[in-house]
Amino acid sequence: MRRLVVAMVVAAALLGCDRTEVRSGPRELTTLEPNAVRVLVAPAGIGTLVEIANPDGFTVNFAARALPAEDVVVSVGPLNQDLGVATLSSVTQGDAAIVTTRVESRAIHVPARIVWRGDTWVCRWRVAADEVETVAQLALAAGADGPEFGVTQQPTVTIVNPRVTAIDDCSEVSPLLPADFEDALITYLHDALAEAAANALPASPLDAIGLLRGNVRVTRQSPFANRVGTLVLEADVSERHDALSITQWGLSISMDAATEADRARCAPPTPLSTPPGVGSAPIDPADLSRLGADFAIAASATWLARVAQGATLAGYTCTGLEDARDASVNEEVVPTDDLLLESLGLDHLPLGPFATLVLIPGTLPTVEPKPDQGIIAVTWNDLQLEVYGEVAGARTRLARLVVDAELGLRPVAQVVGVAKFTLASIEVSTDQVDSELTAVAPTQEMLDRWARRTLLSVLEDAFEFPLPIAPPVPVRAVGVQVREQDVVVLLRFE
Amino acid sequence: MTKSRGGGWVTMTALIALSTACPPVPEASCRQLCEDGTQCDVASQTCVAAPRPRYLREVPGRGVKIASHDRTIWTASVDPSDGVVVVQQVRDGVRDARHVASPPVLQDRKLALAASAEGVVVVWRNGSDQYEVAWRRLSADVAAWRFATIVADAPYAGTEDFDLVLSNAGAPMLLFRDRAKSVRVLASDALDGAWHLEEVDDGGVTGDGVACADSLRAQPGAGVGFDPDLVRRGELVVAAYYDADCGDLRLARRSAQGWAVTLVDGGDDTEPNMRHGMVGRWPSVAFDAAGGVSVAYQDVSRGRLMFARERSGRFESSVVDAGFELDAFARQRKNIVGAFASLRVEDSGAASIAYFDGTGADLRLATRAAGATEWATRKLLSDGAVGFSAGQVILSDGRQFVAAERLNASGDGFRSELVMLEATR
Repeated sequence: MRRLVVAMVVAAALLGCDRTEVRSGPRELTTLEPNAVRVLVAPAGIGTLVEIANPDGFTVNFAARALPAEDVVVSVGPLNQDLGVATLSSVTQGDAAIVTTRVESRAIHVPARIVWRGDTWVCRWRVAADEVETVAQLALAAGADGPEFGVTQQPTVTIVNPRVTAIDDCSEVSPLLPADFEDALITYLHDALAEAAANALPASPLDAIGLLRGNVRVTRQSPFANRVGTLVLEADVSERHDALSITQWGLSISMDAATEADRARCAPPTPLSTPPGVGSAPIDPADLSRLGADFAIAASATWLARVAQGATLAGYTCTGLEDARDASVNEEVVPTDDLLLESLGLDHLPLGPFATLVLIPGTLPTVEPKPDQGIIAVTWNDLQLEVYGEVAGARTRLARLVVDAELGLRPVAQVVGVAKFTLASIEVSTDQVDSELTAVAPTQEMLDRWARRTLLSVLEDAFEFPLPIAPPVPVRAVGVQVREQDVVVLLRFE
Repeated sequence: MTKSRGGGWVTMTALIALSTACPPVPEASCRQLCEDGTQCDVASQTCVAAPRPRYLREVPGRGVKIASHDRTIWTASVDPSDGVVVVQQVRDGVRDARHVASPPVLQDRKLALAASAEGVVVVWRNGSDQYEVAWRRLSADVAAWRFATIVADAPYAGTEDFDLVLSNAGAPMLLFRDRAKSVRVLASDALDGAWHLEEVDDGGVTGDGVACADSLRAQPGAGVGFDPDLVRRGELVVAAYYDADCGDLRLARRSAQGWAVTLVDGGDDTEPNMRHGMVGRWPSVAFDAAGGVSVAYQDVSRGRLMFARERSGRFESSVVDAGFELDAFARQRKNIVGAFASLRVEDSGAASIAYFDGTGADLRLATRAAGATEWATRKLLSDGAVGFSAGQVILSDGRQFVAAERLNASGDGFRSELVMLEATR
């Protein structure tokens, strides 16, 4: 169930909650692109996964234990305490990760229960130490719901120079305690910390990152029925033996993924034109070290292209005119004066103060990485750009342009939560312009310039993609790379 | 308050009410003192309305309103280039357009027009948020117009949202959205009589118990009473208007007990993205033969034309034109339709709605045969940007005429043209 929740959260984030209805369903796509998405968590990043899985610190919940004693009944515990984490680090060793946690050791309070002659005393002892450290060695194992983290052996616990001090006045029964009571107390604490170290590990490495997987149907919502379509996303850990592994470079995950779409009627009646590809390439661990990234995600260009095309078919790029509210709260409208409508021969028209731009795709976009330029080239032909203004108080289409656009998207680093691209270049060629209201036909050059400028304003902040993950803490993209067959986003937990 | 022409002060009423109510003046000064639009009647020594000159240019279409009586059609429109109010009379194909007034230019000027057996009346708002009324008795010469400013028994602050009806006897009633965010009515027994102000709707709970949240009512700039359409049939008086605060269509009905307000359509916000189910702009009300009320209007959120009919005290809404059509590439495109809805219901039950397609900038007509439930829609005009301020009338001989504004682009800007055509039935 957890994986579906993650998938739904991610899918909603990918396409905007307010325009999206997300449903999970049975697996339905049969042709998955192998290694469409790869994840590499740096050795140090594994420790961070443990840390963010335990936001309250190092939680110790250990049951009481009876101690052998004469004449009295003595039990130590239970111990329920959140201990602060002083440091947490991790390294990999072979196919395991070693997580070392140094906990705050100034005041661990351990209770003991003493029953003597029908009376019960509950006394507390404070255990202080110079240093308390746990070392857990974890590896991957098959679980009922996918791969799980597990400890390969009981975590080791080191308590340096422990000192035991009574907190409460239990002088009446203290003489009755066994002679090795303090040693037993330390042993109990040792065992409690070992169990806590094992329990601190996140059950699933995939859930720890919040990686999209499973099948989800993301349905576009709109007041206009012709814009309602569904993007079908499916992703899962590859079935190859090395799809999920711990190596000296960290935790490596390979996902197979597929995308299809149920067409919205506003979209062109054409199937996805980019076939599934060969997937993404392995992530270079040196890049994570260089940028201090906790982990990186590589998404294949073909998968990205299919997501872009699927989103277009599902109606996500048919936009505009969906908000009828007043301009003061309407995010769709733009000041009419900002549109420079005189370039289209639409000056002197009695227009209201706000206008709306409408985009309707004529074809599906194509996506191609250009590693030599560090950009992703998006080609979008027959893109219909419409301008609506208020004439006599009524929404009226002022002009319709059909353009071919070539966009160069350059990834931006140091952005929280998303993979952001800026428009590095935009070339527009206007094929057609229709307007009942154009007083003087603009020249081709004027049209192209206007369309370029307007598309730039519409699209400049449009290429901001939520990552296909839903981690429990925010992540910052510290680097983005465009490679021959994929795009890599390097991330750090905030 | 008075103001002089040559340094002295005369009454403001004399400035605006250019009528026979002007005080007698000495013959020697009569010709000198009569205001523009009036002339000195030497016999009575009063300033009387001057015959309104013919309007010789192409009749403009800005804010056009259309009304009829018997087989005569009137249109009232504004020339946006100079603010002249033009009233055109059409009877048996003979057209007579008059330059009725040249009020100081106001932005977004709108007009109201009504006709009855007694006469034809045009109303507009002046710069003091009061309404100006111009009328002509049908028995008088076609050029003989009279004018007055509507001064009521209580102050009001009019807006550009208003509409007018006349009783058979010619008693006027003007419904308007007051700046105080309420709907009010100015009523009189005669155009030159005393005007009485009535409250219609203060935006409170409707008679059927529907309330708009206080938080929405408190929004600046909105209010209740936009795009009102006022109709009268005998003693039945009904108005429909848009509640911009809640995005609802409301209807007010006058009875002996006063005005009762009903919610016609509260919008559709059931789907996840329908956060703003706004319906009810451009309402147009009509009575059927039995006095039943129907309303055509635009569903703003969905950009479609709607029709609501009252049954057993409740309104049932249906879609007349959803605005979808296939384009040359087999994509279904969404047109924004339904603005300037103008509904007529004939005694037979047949109904028609003239309206605007904002995407194609076309004038469209929806028709429904008597006894039918389905609507048929078609383009009436698509040459140029046409269909603004669409309106329609059905004459006593059954002929149907639709009027609208066409904007003609030219090298030096735009020219507003009134188009009027007979719709084939």
